Amino acid sequence: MARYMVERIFPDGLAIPITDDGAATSRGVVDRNAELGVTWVHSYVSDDKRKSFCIYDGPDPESIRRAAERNGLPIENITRIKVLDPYFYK
Amino acid sequence: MVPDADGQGGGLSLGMLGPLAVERSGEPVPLGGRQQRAVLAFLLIRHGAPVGVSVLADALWGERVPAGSVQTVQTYVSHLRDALSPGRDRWARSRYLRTERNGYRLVLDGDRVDAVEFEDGVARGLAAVERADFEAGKAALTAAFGLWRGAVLADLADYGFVPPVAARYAELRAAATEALIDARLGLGEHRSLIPELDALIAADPLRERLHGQRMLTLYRASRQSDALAGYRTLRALLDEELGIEPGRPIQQLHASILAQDPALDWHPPGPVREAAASGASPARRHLGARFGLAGGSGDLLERDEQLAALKRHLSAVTTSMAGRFVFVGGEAGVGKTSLLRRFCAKQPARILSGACDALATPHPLGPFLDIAAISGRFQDVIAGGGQPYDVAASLLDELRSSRPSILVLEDLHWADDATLDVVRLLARRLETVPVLAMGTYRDDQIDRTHRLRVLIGELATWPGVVRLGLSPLSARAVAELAAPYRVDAAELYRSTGGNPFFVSEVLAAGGSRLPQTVQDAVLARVARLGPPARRLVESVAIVPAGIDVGLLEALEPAAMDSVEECLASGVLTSTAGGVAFRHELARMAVEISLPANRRIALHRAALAALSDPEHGPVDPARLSHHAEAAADPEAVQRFAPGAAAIAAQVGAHSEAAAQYARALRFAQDLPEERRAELLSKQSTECHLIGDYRVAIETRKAAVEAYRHLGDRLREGDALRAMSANLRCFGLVPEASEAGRAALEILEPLGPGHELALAYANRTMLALNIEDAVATRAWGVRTQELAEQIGDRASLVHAMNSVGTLGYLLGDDDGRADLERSLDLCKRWGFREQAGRAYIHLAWASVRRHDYGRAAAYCREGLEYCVDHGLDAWRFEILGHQARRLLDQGSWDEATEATARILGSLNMNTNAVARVLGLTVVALLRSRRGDPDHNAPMREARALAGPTGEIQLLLPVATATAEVAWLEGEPAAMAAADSATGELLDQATRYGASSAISELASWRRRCGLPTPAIAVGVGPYALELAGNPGAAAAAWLDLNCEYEAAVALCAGDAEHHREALRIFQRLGTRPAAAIAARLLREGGARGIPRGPRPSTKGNPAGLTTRELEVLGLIGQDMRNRDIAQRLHVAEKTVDHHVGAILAKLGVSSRGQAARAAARLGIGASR
Repeated sequence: MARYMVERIFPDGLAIPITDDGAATSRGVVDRNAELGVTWVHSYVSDDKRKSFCIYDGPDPESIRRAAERNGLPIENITRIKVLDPYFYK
Repeated sequence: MVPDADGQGGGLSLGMLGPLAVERSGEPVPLGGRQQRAVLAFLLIRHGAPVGVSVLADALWGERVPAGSVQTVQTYVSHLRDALSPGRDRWARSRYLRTERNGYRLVLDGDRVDAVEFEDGVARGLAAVERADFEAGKAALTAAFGLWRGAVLADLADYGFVPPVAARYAELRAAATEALIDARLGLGEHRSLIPELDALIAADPLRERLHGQRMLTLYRASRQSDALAGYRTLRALLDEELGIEPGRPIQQLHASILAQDPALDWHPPGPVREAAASGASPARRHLGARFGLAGGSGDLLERDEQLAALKRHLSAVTTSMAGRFVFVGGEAGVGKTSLLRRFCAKQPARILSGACDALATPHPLGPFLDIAAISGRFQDVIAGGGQPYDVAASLLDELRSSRPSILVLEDLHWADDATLDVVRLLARRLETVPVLAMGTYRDDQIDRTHRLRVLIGELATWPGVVRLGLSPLSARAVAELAAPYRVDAAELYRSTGGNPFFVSEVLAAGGSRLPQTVQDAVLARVARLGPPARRLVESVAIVPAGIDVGLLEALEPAAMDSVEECLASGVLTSTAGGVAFRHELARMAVEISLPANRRIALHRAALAALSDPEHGPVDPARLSHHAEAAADPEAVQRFAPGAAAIAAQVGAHSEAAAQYARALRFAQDLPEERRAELLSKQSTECHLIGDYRVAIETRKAAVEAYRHLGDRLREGDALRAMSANLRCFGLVPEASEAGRAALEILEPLGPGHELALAYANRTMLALNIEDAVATRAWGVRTQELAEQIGDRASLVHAMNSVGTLGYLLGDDDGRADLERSLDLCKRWGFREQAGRAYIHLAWASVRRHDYGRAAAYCREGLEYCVDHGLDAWRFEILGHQARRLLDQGSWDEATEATARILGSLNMNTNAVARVLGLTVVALLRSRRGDPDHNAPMREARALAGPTGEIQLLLPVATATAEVAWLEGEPAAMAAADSATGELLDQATRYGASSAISELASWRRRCGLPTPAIAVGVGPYALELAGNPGAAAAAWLDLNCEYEAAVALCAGDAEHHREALRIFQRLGTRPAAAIAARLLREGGARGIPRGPRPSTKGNPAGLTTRELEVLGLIGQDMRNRDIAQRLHVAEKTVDHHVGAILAKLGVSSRGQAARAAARLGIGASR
């Protein structure tokens, strides 16, 4: 399983409220992804909530794209990544 | 909150358990006068289904329908639309009240209906009570009763359509009431129940069950004499009113009360469960059966969700009359069969069920043999050696009735090829028959390349096909099951992994002491049987999927008396014709435990009994299984080859190959000639299923055997066949060598069928490297010989090859020849040759950019190969299909096709299919700017390189060049230079004109030196002739937008601007960057940056399909025309339009069209 960083841009800002609705939205994304063998690990969101950097595990870029389409999420760029830990070098 | 199409957020809450009421966010919605409310009530009762205007008018006015009733109904509906969606756009489609042909439909989605919630609550409550979860049962039922506000549609009770509905809910309510009393009895609330029961009986004095519950309640409250008096009262009442006696359950309860049966006493809830049924006290089960109390009817822990899902699917089948196929997957013992049995037990539908068996080589069409008993015609088709498509057609006929059926196919992981083909055909025609088909399979026993996994993957996107997964039990549920047995529940959960079968087996095997392993648990249980019963169980264990009485008697005549004991112990269960293990795992545990001599003896006895015609028709597939297990070489030779031939005949080629392999395992004492024949046959079957490694290996052995025998003719013929085996595996030089060797042997033997085929093979080898001269020369030789000796097989083979060459070179007569060879193959029954003709039609049409024909060839070819079990062929066509979809801009579909090729086959596969799939994946990634295109390119290069075939080298070389063009890296350029350069030489040498212009174009785009070439027609030729504008126009005529934009990159600033626009719309960032750079280098200013990045590929979160539909709405197309254009159902378009309006936050098509223009969708077309 490869790890990818998916950059997304939301012109109107991304809003997932911390409510039941927000939880349901997130769960929906996770469930739909699971059918494709894609796992949303976590995301970083810019302060203005217009850009997100999402870390995903998945079999290939096509699955990442299909998951985004099912969830109605935009994709700006997909990059294959590996972890580089600064403390590894100490 | 996203506003819905009507501009309103939030759902509705609709009530019919009381006066009709509708609320939005707690606020009542005014519904108008009685007639108008009656319209809504009627539509609510049938919500989801279309209701004709005339039906509505009947409901409102009965026999006295006034003139103008249609307009009146329309007015009511219009008012109701306003009421349900205040502030809606009058011209937009209403979210709730949809107009249907001749009527209306109330569509609820995410809205609440009290009657639906009541039914769900009652169902959950009944299920909970049934599994003795009284707390949950009481809670669900109490909540369900809380939904009632009065009599059903109390304000409309005088309309004729209300009483039947009210009666239905009254019945449901009564059943729920009884269940609630059961729940409260189970919770020990007998004291508080008596007054309530008295009141209920006063209201409904003839309801016997209430009397029984009252008697039990009184008995438990230590009021025995009152309980007995209650019986006398009931008896007198029934005698007086109806002249009958109380029913048997009540009589038995009376007797138990007289006898003070301890089973009547109250026990705290929890301890008794069906999963451990053999541990439950007989008295309690007896009582349970009578009163629906704990433990009687089996409970299924943690399966409510799946049962509810199956129920939903069945009701969808009932309302839509279109079928569904549910694949129920889970590990062995997780309870798939129990789930389906439980579900089916409660359905009134006709149930057809069959199972695949665990024979090492499955029986062709096994499960359908079980089902064949249903009708004479179906039986005839099966018995007559029907092909999968005959069987499927006949089954569909059976199922095509006004009443839905349930079709159960168990253990599909053991299915033979023919069965899977039937499943595939059935699933594809699902929408024509009202059937809920359910197939179980062990998902832990099918790996990525298992044929069932491939099948399920393929069907995943078909409408009506769903998967249902069963997980093992949770630790909590295991603890609950284990509670009464004083075992360490945590340890039990660890050792069984929550597998319900293992858990129940372990518990049933003793409970007080946890056995070491689950196998021990099974054996321990068997060991407790008496010696004759044990012998019986051992006999049953050697026959997968159960044993019939006749065979059992033959195997173990003395043990027949012990059947009862085995059934009572729960080790065996009775089946239609005999007995079987309750579970396959238990059978395997017992079979493995048998000492070798006993096992062999049993299989020998089975073999003898089953080959006796007295026993019934002799079944070679079954017999060969026992023959192998009995280590009887003579019997294996007698049955396995016959079973293989039957399997091959019905297209079950995997089974045929396995049966030949079995025969070959026992071939030590066979004459060498017979062994060579079996090897050849096995090789042929392996070739058909794409198992080339084994095909080559066995063919090699056959060649050697014939050589040893001095049979030159067969040796040469086997070499010719091996040449084809080698070529499909991508070993082209070896294939040519074998082809030449075959000729060397056969030519001196003079004219004949074998020599003609060897010539045809040489024709094919020449075609594959696109050597035009050699193909024609060998083609002529083949045809002359074929005509001389009247050999059809070699004639159509060569006609195919020569025709394909012509088509590749742009010669229409070539295509005609190829199509004629296809017709002849079909007429003369050369199935594999027909499949090869389809492959070549797909190959040449895509190469010639003849996309319209290519689409039809691919579709027909794929269907033909499915129908005839030509798996390897199918994937090769799919490879060409993937390329066609890529070229035509259907990139999502192309992705799906490649996933099917690459995901379902391992490395031991068809070289063409794999190379095409890999290059398409690499190009898709590269064009989108996605990572990971190097690995598929590397693999494709490694596969294609040694073959020397242009059809493999060309896609690899051009993809290498395109990647280099997009990346501009020096290393990539060098790779592109060598790949395209060498191939260009070869193509020029052989005169492969279509490849030459494509390669030369790519070299020029990459700035590599390009030799001057005189080539005629097509977009590549136009580009090479220095006319990029004309080339782009030609590409656009072919519906190849991306290629058009690439061609424009060779033009002037205006061309570059157009290319940039296309690349930006397609979301191909790397190519867009190239076009932008060309513009900048040309001194252009104001280079458009394209639409906002986030709306580029996906404005407002619209899917690709929705974007397509939106574009067509923008062209003022109606849904029906859109449906035609996109080759989908109009309903599907409705669905897309609804989703588009919702996502764009607009309420009309007009607004959507304006949004489309704003987003730049459809503007270019």
